[in-house]
Amino acid sequence: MSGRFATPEAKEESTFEQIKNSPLFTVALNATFFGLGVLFIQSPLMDMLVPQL
Amino acid sequence: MSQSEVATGTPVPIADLSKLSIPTLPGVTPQPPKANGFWSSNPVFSYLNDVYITISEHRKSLGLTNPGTIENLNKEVSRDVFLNQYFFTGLRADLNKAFSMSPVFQTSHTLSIGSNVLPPYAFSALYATDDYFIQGNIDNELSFSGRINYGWNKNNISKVTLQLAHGQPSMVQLEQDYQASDFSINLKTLNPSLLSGGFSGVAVGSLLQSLTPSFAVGLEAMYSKQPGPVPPETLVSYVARYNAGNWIASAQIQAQGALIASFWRKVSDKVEAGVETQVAAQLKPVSDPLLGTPIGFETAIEGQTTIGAKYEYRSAVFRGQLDTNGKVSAFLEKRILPTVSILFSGEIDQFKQSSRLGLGLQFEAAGNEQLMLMQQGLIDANGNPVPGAPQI
Repeated sequence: MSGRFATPEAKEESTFEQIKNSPLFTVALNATFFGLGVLFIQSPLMDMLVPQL
Repeated sequence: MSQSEVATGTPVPIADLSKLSIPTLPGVTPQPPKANGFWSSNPVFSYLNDVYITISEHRKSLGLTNPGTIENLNKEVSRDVFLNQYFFTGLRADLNKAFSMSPVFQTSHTLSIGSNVLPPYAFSALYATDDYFIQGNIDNELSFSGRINYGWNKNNISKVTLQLAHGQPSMVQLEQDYQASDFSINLKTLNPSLLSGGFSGVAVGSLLQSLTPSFAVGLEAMYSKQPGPVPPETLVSYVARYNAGNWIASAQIQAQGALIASFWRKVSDKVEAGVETQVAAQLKPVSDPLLGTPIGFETAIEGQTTIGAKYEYRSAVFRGQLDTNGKVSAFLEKRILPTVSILFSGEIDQFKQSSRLGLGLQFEAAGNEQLMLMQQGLIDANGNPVPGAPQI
């Protein structure tokens, strides 16, 4: 054994991975989910989910 | 009084001064002296009083209402609609007995198996009058928690909370709530002590103020000091709440680095829906890529959005929710007899391929005949027969 460690090659992140790993992506994604949730709750779809007893 | 008396210099009795016709300026009426004369006749205080009265009259003209407390900022979503307060795992049985309704006195035995949170056995008692609310809870490991609330009037409530848990540091919390016509103030302190050369413990002050009849903003400041030569910590959080009647939106920016936004809507008399988003900065350990040993921390942003709904039926309450971490949860409370309910809670984590399940029974017993008839829906709180109920 040479005693040398093989240096792991640093993988270059693709543009998509860079965007996905950025903090802003998490914030924007959850803000979008929240907006969609509000739209759904305020939409007539939610009114249709009320049971007619 | 005769002319001769005046001429001879006889002193006029003081009581008769008011009867003298002293000429006054036309249109000016002298003000009678006030009871607290110094505070109102002093020009500085008089000016301050006028300013205070003007401001309070202007505030009254805005038609503001009390905005609630910061603790209950998103109560409609996180406590009413979502399952957080209700979810349990394993098997449980609650045996509740009500001894009287005025004052309220009831006891409860809770038995549980297969739960990480609930103790195998817990006993709790509750006593409440118009002013007092006292609750105590003790489990099989002799961990005790108690709470006393005392309402000085409808705006001022003092609260004391005590926790003596087995193997954990004890905790006492003193709290004062003040709810005015258009704002709420809450002051609380956790484990306060002055014995270690100054204040140690946690002190929190919060203020929520209505700006319009629907919109309120507030802030919460926290001061924390551990005993010893540790520097104190201070944190400030900001909140806002908009109440439009049938829907409520709220937002919180917490000093720890979290943002919480929530939205609630009353869809119908029996249906409520809510959505909540939490984005928080958290410290994650970083390990050396070669050796795998921890070398420090990095900040990571994590987020979660949850949407849920609550359905109230005649003899059942159903709650369901779905979150962006892949968890689908449901909780059902169904009254199968007037004094017996069954509880079901279930959760599936779609990403981790795991699930949790809880099943429970709740029995209600009455300490006297009248309470038993009330529990069975045969008479109302005044002892009168309920219309439509079967004859006793």
